[in-house]
Amino acid sequence: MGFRGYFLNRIAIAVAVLFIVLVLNFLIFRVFSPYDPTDMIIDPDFEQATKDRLRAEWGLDRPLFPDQFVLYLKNLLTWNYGRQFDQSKSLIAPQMAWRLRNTLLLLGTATIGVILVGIPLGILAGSRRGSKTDITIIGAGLFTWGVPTFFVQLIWLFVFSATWNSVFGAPLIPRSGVVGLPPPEGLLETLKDVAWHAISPICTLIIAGFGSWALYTRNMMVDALTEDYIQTARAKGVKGRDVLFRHAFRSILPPVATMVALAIPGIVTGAIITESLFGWPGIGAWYINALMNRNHPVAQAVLYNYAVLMIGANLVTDLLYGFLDPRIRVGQRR
Amino acid sequence: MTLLKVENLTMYWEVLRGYVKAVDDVSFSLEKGHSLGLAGESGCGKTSTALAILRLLPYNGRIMGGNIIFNGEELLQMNDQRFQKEIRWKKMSVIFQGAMNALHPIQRIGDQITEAILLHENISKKEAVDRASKLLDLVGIGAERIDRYPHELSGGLKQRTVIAMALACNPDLIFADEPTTALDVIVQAQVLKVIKELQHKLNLSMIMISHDLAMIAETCDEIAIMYAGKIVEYGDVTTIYKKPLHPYTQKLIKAFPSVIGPKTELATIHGFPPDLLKPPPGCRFHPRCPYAMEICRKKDPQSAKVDGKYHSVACYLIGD
Amino acid sequence: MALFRKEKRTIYVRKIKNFWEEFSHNRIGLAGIGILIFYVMVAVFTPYISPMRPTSQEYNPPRSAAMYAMPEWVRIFPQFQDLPPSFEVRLLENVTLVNSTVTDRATLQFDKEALNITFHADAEEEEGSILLHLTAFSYVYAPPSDFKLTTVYYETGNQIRYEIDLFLTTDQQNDIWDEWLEDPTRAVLYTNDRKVTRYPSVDKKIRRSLYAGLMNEQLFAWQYPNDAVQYAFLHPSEMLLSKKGSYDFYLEIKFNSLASTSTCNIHIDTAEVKFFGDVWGLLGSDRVGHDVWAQLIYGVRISLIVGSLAAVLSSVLGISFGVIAGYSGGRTDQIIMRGVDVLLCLPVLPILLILSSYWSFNVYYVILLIAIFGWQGLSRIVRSKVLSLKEVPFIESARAAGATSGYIMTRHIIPNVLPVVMAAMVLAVPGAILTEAALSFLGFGDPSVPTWGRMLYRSRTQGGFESLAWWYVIPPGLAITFLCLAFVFIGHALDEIVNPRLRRRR
Repeated sequence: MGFRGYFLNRIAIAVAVLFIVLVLNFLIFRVFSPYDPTDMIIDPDFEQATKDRLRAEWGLDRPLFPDQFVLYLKNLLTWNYGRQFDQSKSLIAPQMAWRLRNTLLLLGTATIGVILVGIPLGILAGSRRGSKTDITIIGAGLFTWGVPTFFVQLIWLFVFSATWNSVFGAPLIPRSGVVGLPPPEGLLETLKDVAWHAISPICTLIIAGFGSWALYTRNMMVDALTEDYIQTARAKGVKGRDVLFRHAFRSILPPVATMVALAIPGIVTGAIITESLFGWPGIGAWYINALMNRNHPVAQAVLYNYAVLMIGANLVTDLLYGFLDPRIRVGQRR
Repeated sequence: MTLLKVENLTMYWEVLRGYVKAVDDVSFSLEKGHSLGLAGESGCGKTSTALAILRLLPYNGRIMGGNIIFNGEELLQMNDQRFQKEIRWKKMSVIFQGAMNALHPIQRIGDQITEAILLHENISKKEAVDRASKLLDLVGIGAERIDRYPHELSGGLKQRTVIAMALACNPDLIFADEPTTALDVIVQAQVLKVIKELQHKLNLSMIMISHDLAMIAETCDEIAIMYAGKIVEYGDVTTIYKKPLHPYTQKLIKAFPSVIGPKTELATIHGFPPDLLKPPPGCRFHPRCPYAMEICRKKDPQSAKVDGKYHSVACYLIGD
Repeated sequence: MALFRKEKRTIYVRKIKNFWEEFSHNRIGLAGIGILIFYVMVAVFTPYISPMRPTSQEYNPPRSAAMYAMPEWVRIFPQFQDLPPSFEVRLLENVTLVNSTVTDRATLQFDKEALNITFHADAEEEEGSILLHLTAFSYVYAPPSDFKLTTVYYETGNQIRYEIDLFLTTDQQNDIWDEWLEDPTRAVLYTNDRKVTRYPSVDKKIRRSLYAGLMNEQLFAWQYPNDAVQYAFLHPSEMLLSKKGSYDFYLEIKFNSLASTSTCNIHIDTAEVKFFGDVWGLLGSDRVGHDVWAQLIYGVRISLIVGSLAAVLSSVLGISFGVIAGYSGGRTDQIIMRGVDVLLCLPVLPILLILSSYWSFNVYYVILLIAIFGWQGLSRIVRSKVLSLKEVPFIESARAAGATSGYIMTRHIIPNVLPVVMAAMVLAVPGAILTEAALSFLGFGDPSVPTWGRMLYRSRTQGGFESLAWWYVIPPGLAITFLCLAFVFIGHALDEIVNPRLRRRR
């Protein structure tokens, strides 16, 4: 099977997974849910006529299948999530756009940060196997594997927000938000302010996340460096750095790409907690709120976006894998 | 003219419990255009010798003494940079076991050969690619396969690629480290044929490392039999084949099946090769030697010449 | 057959011995085992290590300290050495009569447990009062932030009006009292003025629990003078015990008969003052004054149960699906592996959050959910291992000898797969622990069990940060970290042993 077949196969799988996720998302919120969606909007003291009118207004009087399901599919696929299930009844889509952007900003930079810190450290450790550097990096890797991300963040908040506040009268880091209030003027100022607000969540995500990447890369580098072709490269006269990067690291690049895909759920998980801890107005914090208030259209919309995000990331890494490793064959990857 | 002269080369592996005496006091020399076979069981130090000469030792390999004179130049005194740039792969290169993993799995074979050329010679990329295609033709792969990945080639073709790679800079001396191991018998024969043709065509000097005496007999002029880090017998191939003097050589030759000639039961050498961390005192073969004498247990026999120029044996049974 | 079995057993024994030999050289692995043993010991001896039990929905004892009390041992630092610990003053232990205007018409009985006062009037509008000194105690700490007075008494009577006052006096010059109290020599903690008109139908038990003391109407009205704003935020208890020194509790009872045959009996059987310390126990207290040490220690059991149960369940699922997929191949394999693909694309934590917000918040339910969403990675490893094992001659020969698929899977494949997936199985434990901790931390965990995640959740949502209650933030986090580290260390060591390329050269 060539590249094209492989790509088409992966895309077909992604589409199928997307459909399954859509169905599950509907089932979880509309069929498994022990709560009636109208609990939140319909007062039990209303008259029957009022209740019926409200149900009709929200389209809940029609049968679950196919009417509501088809409408649900149509809405999600067209990025139209309807209205919030609360008093405001505001449209979800505009807020989703804004919050999704914030989440992607956080997730994207944190992922890149973790890669930029973790993988070079892994290469360094792998190339100096058994040295002090190696042992230190293994230790740090194992430690950050065990420590919960939110604990690192709690400590961070405890030191830079609570303690700082009690010692100096004001917290060092911003309490919440993407920009300060009032928002600064000018692009450069805005960027600076956003960076200042993002630095705590991103730093803590990197601190708590880089270790397992470093460890994984290190183990694969150690493995790769014992391969015969590394000796060939050395014998040919390839210089040390080139042996490390162009030969050893190049050969583990495909599994590293897979690692990125496998790490995405963890990063998403981390981001939910991070958002609610640092008051970052992304979709994760929104989701928690929606669950607590049984604002199910919002929860459904967020869950759908998470799934799309993950399916997309998986697809990209699959394609990347195919691009990086000419040996692709179905069933042989990973 | 002597191309390579190794004198009293000693190389130990440093491990936690001490030194593993992998190459101990090994001497041999090779004339230009000749080829030498290094034979012996696994772990007898033949590959370690080659790695020591090529400076490809892992971090715990220590050269404890000796001289390596290549083209009249002392290699052990040369600095690493110059050795890497001017000697290794340029003047002497290696044929690794290609069927296994000697080729980078996700680089095109053409690129792997070109890389070797570009690292040592000041020529343009295009010229290097041209030379690589010529080399691929030479070893019988065909220039059209230059863009293939190793996993798209058969074991034999991979081994030929490795040979082409070794020839990339027109070296004076080639080490061939078990070049046909892990190949099917027919493919082995084909690869061997390629090697022989190249020897003939390019007038290559070669050091062939193998446990396969038959292959050495076919490709080499001289042979050195190694046992437990030492050369026990050294001489030209026919002499040693016809008249092995060292008990180990005798047993080794008997341990190989012969296709022609009468069917005999294969001989085995009882016992195991010694632990080189603590090799036995005296002759290292004495615990397995049927003719062991008192002196063998105490004093290490020195290599002594026997009839003629080449043939030398380290055994108390011979000479005196 | 017996011989065969014995041989087999010796083979296993030798294998385990060899394995242990390898493992005992791995320092990281040994460290992991050490930490794990420590945790297990704590889990076994929990009731002995923490005499107190953590609170839950079923078990809700009175609190033991003030809100966010510091650990007791911080008093070794000079700035904290004055902080009051929790202690109790029993008021009825040493009662003496100070003054009585009605010695002839009243009878007084007291012992250490109870105080009994009976009054008979001879005429209408007759008055009488009895003043009792209850207890003297010396207070040698900084002002407490919290205390609680409890009195329980029975009244029986007829046509009488009585007033009961419990008050505190001090010999200290106390400007706060001067500023605040009508009569600066006495701080009234409890006062009750009642009319009792029927007898004997009334027999009423009156229970009074007063937090922070002041039931004095003048004080309770908070009529602050304008020039004393600095006291406006003083807690009543800080006001009452603002000075170190000796304090006395007094009880005064006044009677006023409404008829000529009035009678009244007051039986006080509980009168005590509990000071909720600003230092408490080994690890202080939480927001509602409960012991943190107990929560921390009892958390070990829950975490061990969650981690091991979820890991075992997900390993069983992962190995079964992996073996079935790898061994059966074909359509079954396709279906299972696509299922794994789907599961790997699901945002697991958000789904766990929604599911645990739906149904009963039960820790075993959470464990089940974690297992259901946590087996995919393992099944992939198992499947690829089974695929390579399937072609190994001894399995082919077993098949040729007529062994059924089930027999081959359980007898040959699974025993050979286990060593390879051991590391992954061990590493599933911290994954499960961290997931449960994350759920609890977001407030979606089981509220009835004391988990470390719940402690962190409370520390964050109940003002632990603002109070800088590090003893409520750091210990549970470290406990999770070290428990996870133990498994990570062991998993890493197993990985090094099973995967020969990672093995340290020796």
